[in-house]
Amino acid sequence: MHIPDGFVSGSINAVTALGSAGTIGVSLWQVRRSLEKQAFKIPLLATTAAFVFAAQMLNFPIGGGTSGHFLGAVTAAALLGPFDACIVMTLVLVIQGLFFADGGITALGTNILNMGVIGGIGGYLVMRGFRSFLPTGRPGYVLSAAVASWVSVVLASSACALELALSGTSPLKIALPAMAGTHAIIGIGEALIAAAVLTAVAVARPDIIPEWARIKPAQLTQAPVVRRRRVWALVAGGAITALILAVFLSPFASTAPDGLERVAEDRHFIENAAPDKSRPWKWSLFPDYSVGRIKHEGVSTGTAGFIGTIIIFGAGFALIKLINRRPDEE
Amino acid sequence: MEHSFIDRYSSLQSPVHDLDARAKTIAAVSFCIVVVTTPPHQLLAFVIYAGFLVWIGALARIPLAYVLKRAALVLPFSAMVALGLPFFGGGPKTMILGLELSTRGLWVLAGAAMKSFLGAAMLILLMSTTHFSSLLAGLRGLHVPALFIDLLALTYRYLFVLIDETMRLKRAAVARGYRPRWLPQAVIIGRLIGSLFVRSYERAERVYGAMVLRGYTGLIPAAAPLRFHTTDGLVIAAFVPLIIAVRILAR
Repeated sequence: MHIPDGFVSGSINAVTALGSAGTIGVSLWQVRRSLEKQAFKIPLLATTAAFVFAAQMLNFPIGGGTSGHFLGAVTAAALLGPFDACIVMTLVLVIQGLFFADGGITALGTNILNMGVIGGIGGYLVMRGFRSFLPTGRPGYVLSAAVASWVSVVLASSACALELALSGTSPLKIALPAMAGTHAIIGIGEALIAAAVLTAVAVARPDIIPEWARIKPAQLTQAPVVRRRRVWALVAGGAITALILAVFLSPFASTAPDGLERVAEDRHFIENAAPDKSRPWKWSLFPDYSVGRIKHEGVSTGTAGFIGTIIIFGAGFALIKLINRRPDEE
Repeated sequence: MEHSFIDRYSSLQSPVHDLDARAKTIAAVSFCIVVVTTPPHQLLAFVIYAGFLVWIGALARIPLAYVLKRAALVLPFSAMVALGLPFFGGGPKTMILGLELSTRGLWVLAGAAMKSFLGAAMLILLMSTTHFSSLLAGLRGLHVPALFIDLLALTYRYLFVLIDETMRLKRAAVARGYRPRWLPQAVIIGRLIGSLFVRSYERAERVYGAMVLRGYTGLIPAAAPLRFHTTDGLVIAAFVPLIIAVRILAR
C-alpha cells in the first residue's frame, strides 16, 4: 500500500499533503499537551514506532503461498490513542520512505493520509463506534479493535485506489476491486493479529491500556455484561446498511462490462458463451443482476440487490446460529 | 540488523558528503518533485535525470550496483498500473504480446515506473551521503517541529534494537516448529507481536528512567552543529534551476 513517487499526480499529492500536514499538526499539538503530565510519552511513541516498523516485517500467510503483513494503525490507536497512533504511523512512514525507498518522498503526504489519518484516526473512530454496540470489558474491546482493523485496512487501500484513479494512473474500475479485494483478505489477518496482540497485552500489562488505567483490576476479570439488545441493534444496523447499499447504490454501479466480459467482447467470444443471451447461465436467478419482469432498469437492479442481500443475510445468520449453537440446545 | 544496512556509505569522504544537510535535502526533494511532474513522453528529460544521478553517485563514490539494486525494489508496485492496462480505453492502440493495448495506458505505466525508480534512487543517494544525525539537524534547520525531530531520532535509535528483538522472537517460533501455511495461523504472529509490544513498552519505561537520570528536561540537544557554506548556496542555486530547465526544455 506504500505508493512510490510518480504514481499520484501533483494536485492530488498537494491536497493529501495539506490534509496530512494539518492532521499531524493537530496530533503533535495534542501530544505536546499531554506531555506535561506524561513526559514518558516521548520514548514511548518512539519505541512504539520502532515496534510497528519491526512488526510490519513479519509476514503472515494468506494461503496458496502468498503472504501479507501487519499494518498496525488501529492496534497503535487502541493501545495509545488516536493522535498518538497518527504520529506513530507518520514516524514509521517517514523512516520507511527515507531509508527503505518504501513509499516515495513526494507521495509521503498521500501515504500518511491513507495509513496514518484514515488507518489510525479513522480506524479509532470505527472502533469507538463499535464499542458502543458491543459488550463491555475485554471481549468488547478486543472485538471492536479487530473489526476496526479490518475496516481500516480496507478503507486505507480503497483510498489508495481512489487516489491512483484520480491521478489517471489506474482506472478506478480495476484499482478499487484489486486493492479493496486483496485487502479485504489481508484485513482478516490484520484483525486476527490485532485481537491476539491486544489479548496478549491485556493479559501481561492491563495497566498499559489507557481506557483501563482507571478501572480496578477486579472489574477486568468479571464476566462481561452482554446486552442482548445491543447485539440485536448491531445485527439490525448491519442488515439495514447492507440493504440500503444494495437497493440504492447498485443501480449506480458501473453498467460497463467487467474485466472478463470486456475481454470477451473485444475478442468476440462473448456470443459463444451463451446461446440465449438473456440468460447467460440457465440456472441464474437474476441474469445481469436484474429481475426479469420489472421493466425499469434501476428499479429492477435495486430489487435484485434487495432480494440478494436478504438471501445472503439469511444464509449468514443461519450459519452463525449453527456455529454458535450451545451443546444443550442439541 | 546493523545500522550499516541502511546508511553504510554515509561515512565516506567526498564533495557530496561534505555538503550541508539542508542543501542536500532541498536539492533531493526538488529533484523528486520536478521528476514527478515531468510528462512521461519527455524521454530525453528522464535520460538526463538519470545522468544526474549517475554523476552524483560517481562523485560521492557510491557503487552504482548498490543504488540500482535498492531502487529496483519499488518496481513491483508498477504491477498495479500494468493490471489496469487493458482498461485504458480510446486513442491509438499498440500491439504487445498479442494484446491490443492503449498507447496512453502504456505511457502511464512507463512514466510511473521511471519516476518511482528515479525518486527512490535519489533518496538512496541522499541517505548514503548524509549521516542520519546531520539529516535530522538539517530538518530541524528547515523548521520541522523539534518534538517530531526528537521522536524521529529516538525511533531510529530503537529501530534496530526492536528489529533484532523481532528476529529473536521469530527464530524462537520457527525453532518450535512454526511453519505457517494459511490465514488462521496468523494468530501466532499476533501473540508474537503482542509480546513484542510489551517488551517495547517496558524498554520505553527503562529508557525514560535513564533519560531523566541524565538530566532530560524535554528537548534533546542537537548533536552536530550545521554550517551553511557558500558552496551549499551555490549548489542549490545551480542544481534546482538546472533540473527545472531540463524539465521545460528537454522534449
